[in-house]
Amino acid sequence: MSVLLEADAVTRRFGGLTAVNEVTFSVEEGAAVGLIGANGAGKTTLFNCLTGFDKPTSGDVRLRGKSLLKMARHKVVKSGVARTFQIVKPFPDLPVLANVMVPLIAGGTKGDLRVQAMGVLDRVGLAHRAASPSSQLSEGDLKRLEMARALATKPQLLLLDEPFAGLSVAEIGVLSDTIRQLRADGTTLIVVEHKIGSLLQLVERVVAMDQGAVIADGEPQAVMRDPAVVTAYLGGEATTHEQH
Amino acid sequence: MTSTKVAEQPAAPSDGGSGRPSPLKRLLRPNPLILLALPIVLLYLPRFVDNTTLLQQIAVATIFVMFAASWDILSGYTGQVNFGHAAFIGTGAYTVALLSKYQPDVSNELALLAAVGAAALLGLLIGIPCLRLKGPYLALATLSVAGALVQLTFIFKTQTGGEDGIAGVKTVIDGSLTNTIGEGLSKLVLGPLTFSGLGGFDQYIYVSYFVTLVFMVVMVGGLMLLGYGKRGLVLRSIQQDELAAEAAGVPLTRYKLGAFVLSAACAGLAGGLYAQVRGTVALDLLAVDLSLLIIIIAAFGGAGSIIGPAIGAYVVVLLQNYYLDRATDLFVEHPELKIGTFALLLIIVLIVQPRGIVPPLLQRLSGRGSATRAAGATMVEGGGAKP
Ligand SMILES: Nc1ncnc2c1ncn2[C@@H]1O[C@H](COP(=O)(O)OP(=O)(O)OP(=O)(O)O)[C@@H](O)[C@H]1O
Ligand SMILES: [Mg+2]
Repeated sequence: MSVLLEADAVTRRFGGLTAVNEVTFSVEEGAAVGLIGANGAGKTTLFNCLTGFDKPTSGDVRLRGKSLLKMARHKVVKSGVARTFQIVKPFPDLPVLANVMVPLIAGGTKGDLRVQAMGVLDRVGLAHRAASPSSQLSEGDLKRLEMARALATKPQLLLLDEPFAGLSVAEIGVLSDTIRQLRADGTTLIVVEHKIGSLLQLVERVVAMDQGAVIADGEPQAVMRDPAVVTAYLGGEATTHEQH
Repeated sequence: MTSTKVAEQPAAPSDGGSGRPSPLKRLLRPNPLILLALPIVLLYLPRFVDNTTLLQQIAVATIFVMFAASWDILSGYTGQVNFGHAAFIGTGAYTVALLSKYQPDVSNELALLAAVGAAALLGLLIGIPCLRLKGPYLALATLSVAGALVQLTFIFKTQTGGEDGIAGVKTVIDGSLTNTIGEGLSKLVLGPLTFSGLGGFDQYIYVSYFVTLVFMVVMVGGLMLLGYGKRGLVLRSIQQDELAAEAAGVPLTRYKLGAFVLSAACAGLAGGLYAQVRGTVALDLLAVDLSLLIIIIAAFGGAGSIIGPAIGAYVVVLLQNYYLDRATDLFVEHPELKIGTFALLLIIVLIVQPRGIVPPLLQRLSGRGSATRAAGATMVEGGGAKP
């Protein structure tokens, strides 16, 4: 399998704070990688650097060997990288359907955009809210909308920042199925998630971060047992099951 | 053990997956029949109204419709609120006037094209630095450009006439295209004999009336097609959240600059046409008052809908230039009170109906039930003028 994304010594400093510290890893095409770490570990900042929404202080990010750093954000999207925001960013006054039509239009999609947008909404289980203004959605539905909008860019690499936060158990189940389907269709995934149990059902590899640095990277069970991960992130409940 | 999955699965409803485009299609566009009614009424109005003073003021209002609609495609749609729209209007008007003065051989049509070009170029020049500005900073930047142009007219006083402006600009009667349109429609609506029987000045009023109407319908129609189409949706998404729009793959710079240039070009055309309708240009076409009046009109009518500012322009300009003067002598003696009156009116309207007067009205006329009302926010984003 060929390498899709490479982070090469990515560092991001905010004044004296090093939010992301010399992070190096690569993701193969078709892989599903979980990214975990305590609050403030630097996961979102790393996401921003990987998707062109933030510029690393140093280091490089490459997609299929080509640096993303000098690329405009929409070009990054065009080259197949989509992301969701941890703090959802809907277009609040636009109906749900129109929210999903924007990436379709931007991507130059041909054909009936409404039908296609409806199809994307259906994939995340939001079709029944198509006509509602997104400002009227629940937190869970907003998360799904966020996902639908990313999917509508037809990404090859999808970065999800806490897709399950604020969702009910049932909603997590639905979204998990969607994510699994994406994998089956060949989409490469990087998922930040605090709900470890649900995350581990989706990924075959976990990268753990602490204070900006990668402290473990590998097969999920091994990473979860890694002493550094246990102390840094999971504390005493390392081996217990997550609570929804 | 996290195998809650099995129990969750039935919670995935896929109702509506077949796509129900028709109600949504309606949400994205106002009823075209209602929109067609307006130009048709305006076209035949002179047949029933022979008050030429009123017709003349309607022609002026029609120009303001273009001012307001061209402001809206930038400010109402993308949220880059332009406080100096007069800069583009004045550029168009002075381009036409200066050409008429120094190059009288240049045809009126070509002069209008030059007005469009000059204003578009200015739009590009202002638009680039404004890409990074927001809220009050953008307001200040756009405001000061218009101010700088006023200074420029003083520096080139011999050419521009300074405070006196330029008189004797070739009018719509002198332009073959405008005169053909104006005469043709006058004869169509009034009858050939009636029109030929009018005196010179009255003929000029009718020609102005119909020419402005045709330009307005084309411009506003074009802007509405854009605004209610795919590109308009993208522009709205930019106004709602620039980062989210970029994450959706929207080329932000291209759209924001494009809106700037298009807005400027349309304002330049309207300004140039205004010069040909009035036969004069003066500093009022660059003034802060004009820029502010346009914002008042747009917010009053309903920013971010094109049709709202368009109808708002008729209401406000006819009140300002015609009805208020006839209501009380106060406004005749103190015309400067008018803009204050409108500001007050605007505040009242915005308290009662934050989306402006037109969008909610159109929605009701289009027969949209309460179920789809909320979603109709797409049709108009009333907070268009949010700083
Ligand atoms: N724009 C910014 N300016 C200054 N500091 C920032 C900025 N963005 C993030 N930080 C800091 O960088 C560190 C990493 O933040 P980040 O949001 O990446 O963490 P995270 O792992 O996503 O946390 P969470 O799990 O809470 O989402 C934090 O200490 C945060 O306060
Ligand atoms: Mg985060």
